[in-house]
Amino acid sequence: MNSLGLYLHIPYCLHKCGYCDFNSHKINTEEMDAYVTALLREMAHYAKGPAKDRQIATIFLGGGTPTTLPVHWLEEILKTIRDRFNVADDCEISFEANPATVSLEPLQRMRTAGYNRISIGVQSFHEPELKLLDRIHSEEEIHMTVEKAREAGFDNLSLDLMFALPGQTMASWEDNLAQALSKNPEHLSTYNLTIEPETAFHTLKAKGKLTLPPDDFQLEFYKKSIQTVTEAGYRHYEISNFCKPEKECRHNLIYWNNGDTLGLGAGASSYLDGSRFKNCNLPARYIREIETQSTAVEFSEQLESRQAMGETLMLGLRLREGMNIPPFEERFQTSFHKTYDEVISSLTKKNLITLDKNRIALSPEGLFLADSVILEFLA
Amino acid sequence: MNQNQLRNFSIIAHIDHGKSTLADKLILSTGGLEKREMKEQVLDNMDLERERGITIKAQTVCLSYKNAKGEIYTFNMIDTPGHVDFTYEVSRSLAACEGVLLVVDATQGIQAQTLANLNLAMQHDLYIIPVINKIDLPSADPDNVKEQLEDICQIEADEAVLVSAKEGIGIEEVMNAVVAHIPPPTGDCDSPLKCLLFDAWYDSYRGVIVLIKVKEGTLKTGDEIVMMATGNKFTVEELGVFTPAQQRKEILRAGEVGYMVANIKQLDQTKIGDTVTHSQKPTSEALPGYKEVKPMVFSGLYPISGDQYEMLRDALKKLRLNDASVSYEAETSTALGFGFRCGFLGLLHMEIVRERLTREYHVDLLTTAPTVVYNIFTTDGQVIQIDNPAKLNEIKNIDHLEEPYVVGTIIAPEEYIGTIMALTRDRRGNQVKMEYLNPGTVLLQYEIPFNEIVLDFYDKLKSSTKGFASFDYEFIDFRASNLVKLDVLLNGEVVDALSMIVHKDKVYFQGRDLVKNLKEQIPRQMYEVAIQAAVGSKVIARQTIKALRKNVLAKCYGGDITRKRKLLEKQKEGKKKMKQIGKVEIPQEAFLAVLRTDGK
Repeated sequence: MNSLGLYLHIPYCLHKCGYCDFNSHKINTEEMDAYVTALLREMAHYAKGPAKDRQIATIFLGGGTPTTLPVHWLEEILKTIRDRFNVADDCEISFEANPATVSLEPLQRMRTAGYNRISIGVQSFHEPELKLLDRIHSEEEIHMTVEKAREAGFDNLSLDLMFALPGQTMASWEDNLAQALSKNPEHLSTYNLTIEPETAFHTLKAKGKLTLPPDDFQLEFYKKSIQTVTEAGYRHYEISNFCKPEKECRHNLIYWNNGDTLGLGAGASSYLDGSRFKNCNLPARYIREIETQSTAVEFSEQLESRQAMGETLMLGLRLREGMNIPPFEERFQTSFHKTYDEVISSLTKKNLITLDKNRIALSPEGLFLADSVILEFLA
Repeated sequence: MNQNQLRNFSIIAHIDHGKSTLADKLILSTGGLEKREMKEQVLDNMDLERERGITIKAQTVCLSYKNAKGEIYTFNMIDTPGHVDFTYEVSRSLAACEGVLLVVDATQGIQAQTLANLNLAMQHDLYIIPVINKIDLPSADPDNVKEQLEDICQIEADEAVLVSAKEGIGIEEVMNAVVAHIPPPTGDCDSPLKCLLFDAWYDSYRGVIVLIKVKEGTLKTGDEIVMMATGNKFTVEELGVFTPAQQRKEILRAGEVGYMVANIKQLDQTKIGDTVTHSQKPTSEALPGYKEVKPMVFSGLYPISGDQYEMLRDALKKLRLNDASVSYEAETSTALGFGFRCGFLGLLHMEIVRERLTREYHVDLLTTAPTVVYNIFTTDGQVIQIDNPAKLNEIKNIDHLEEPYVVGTIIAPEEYIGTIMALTRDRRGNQVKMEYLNPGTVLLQYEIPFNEIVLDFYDKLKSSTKGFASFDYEFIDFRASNLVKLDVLLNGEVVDALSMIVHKDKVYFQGRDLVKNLKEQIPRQMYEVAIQAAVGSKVIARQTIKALRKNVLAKCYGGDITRKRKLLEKQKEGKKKMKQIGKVEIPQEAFLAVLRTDGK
């Protein structure tokens, strides 16, 4: 049986942060009930149809802020998934939580319901940085949230940090890393702040009111993360992700291995049977469309072989161990070496990739130029 | 036909003053076309006319006009190109006329091209009927225009016809004025044949079609003719006029204007301004004023990808069938590979050609910055003309250089005098005239090196005068100048396609600006790129593009994949359009970086 990663999008937040370009909307209690109902209905549609006969290997509740939903809905969602789908026994079931949106009791109920991995959006331990990022939580709430999550029994816990913030010093970043490591998380993500179009930060930057550290400095932050976190015994397994042994985020590994995923909810993306599709973003519209037609897909494309190959490399090269070549050749019925002969030799010469019979990966130099390397493989 | 009932005239105007609208209205009111035919035939005639086997130029037409007294007149309304680049063609068309309608926008008054065209008409001793157009607009000020006409143009403004071509006001008055004031042509039908060839174009069915004005004698179908400038002989297959529908005629007599088809295969066998005469009984003397039109502006045209070279060559060949004023010859650039050095009459002409190559012939082009021609005088007394700065290297024993000068006319509101003076001073312009056209409007004339305006002068002038200044120029002569070649080196290698010839006094500034612009245009690469500007072996400016050290997307999860792939695919498209020089990838825009050097 083909396995599948299941993603559920909860598009509500208490507040939209300045850097955020995710599909998130202000919480709306009335709409939220209708939203969950729609989500369950969409689930039923796929469970009976396109995703029938699939085993669910991982489940991921992302957002927005999933923990803005009343906990009974979070329980209900997981219960319905189990009713509708064939869920693997060892299924990784993650959810994203923001400090200030969770307390002990709901966490305990979620753990009991079967959620087994929590990803906490810390971003920074420093109040001025949190303020700059528009985050609504305080440093104290971070400590509380981690403590409560542990107390609730989450033994697979991930923290998100953000670096290269406007005005951030190396000392501040080092302290952030140290504080995060002191929590002994199983998993740590460190993201370079990027300014995305149509965000408040984008507008500020265009007006000259927000200045990022220069590229070279950003690179130093990044290098510092890799050095500090790996020295603490974590494996750097993806461009922005670190973990303790065997604590990779299995759900995200499916994306990076370009495997099949089903995304439910407003704005969620799926990749199923060679086709990528995406739901409409606006929750109200999503609800309406699900009510009338059980699906809310607004965009879909069937990838040509060449595009799918490009995507597989684009994603696979993000992994530090790189992309596994035999499955690639099996999947696309082509010789990897022959197809990319010129690119490979030019990139090898520039010392940007490492290559053996079965794997192609970014070299330590290539890691920092990942996009330039990936570009070479695109048609 | 009686010569007395014939009127040959052109409409001349500054751009957008309403020339085409007036022409259309004249065609309409003389019954040349029904109203419903108007649109398809006049404004959009190309395909339609091809089906009939002949193409016409929209507005060189023969119209029949019946005035209130019932007298019938034949009007030959002769089209002229509307731009400064084609001054010579305009002058030839005017040489086929006895009078002009000088159209002036009542809201804008006299502009630079109004004067340029007026001067041409005066040189030909043509009768000038001022037509003040757009009088229906609220901001129209016909009295001011009249004053300008009298003060600046020395034209009797009482005769000015007030018109709104758009609203159809004053059209009858215009036609009456044509009859009353423009003299009929002269010329003896029995003299040896003397025709002025004033326009020609290529028709894929009929070969070249020429427009002629019979100055003396009579031309008949079947006559054997000779083009006096080239000596080429042809037999006349067909004569006629456009009404604007094509109408055959067996004979064209002295004073008449019409088209001629004579099995002419190539456009360059017909020279605008040439004299057509009978090969048996030729005229003893050609018409005055003929000259070979030479390209004034040159630019290198290179295919972005080498495999489009043949395509580009074919495209240029085809394009020249329709436009003999474009010149091209193969050239090789160490930086850009195989391409063509193309010559154009002027900047607009260059734009048109580039546009056509891209749009009609689908060639992805890289064009180098435009340059003018220079005369190189060697110590042993030779004069060599170069159209590419890179060629300067090949010449030994250079004594001195000459560059082309133009006289530029600028008309603008007086508050911009200071701005214009500063701009022209920066461009080495020498003011030769300044006069008020009326209180508030000033005319300035400069002798200025053509190389200083060939790049971005007009844009600069427009932007620094909020669009109010109008500009026109005319070539004067070549003058000795202290010029040097400015080279650009990328990682130590000279990029020949970026070389330019500049005045010695400006070379430091331009070198500095150029490398700065290039730094902005060339994206960071995986290694450091040094950009240097040099004169000979002396480096005068340098910029460094630091190596790209970080280019990595922080996040890529389920929802990002499609977007990210598309983003990268788009980048890849852009990358494919870049030109690889040594190890450095250069976008097309970089080759035009010289356009933006202020030299300040």
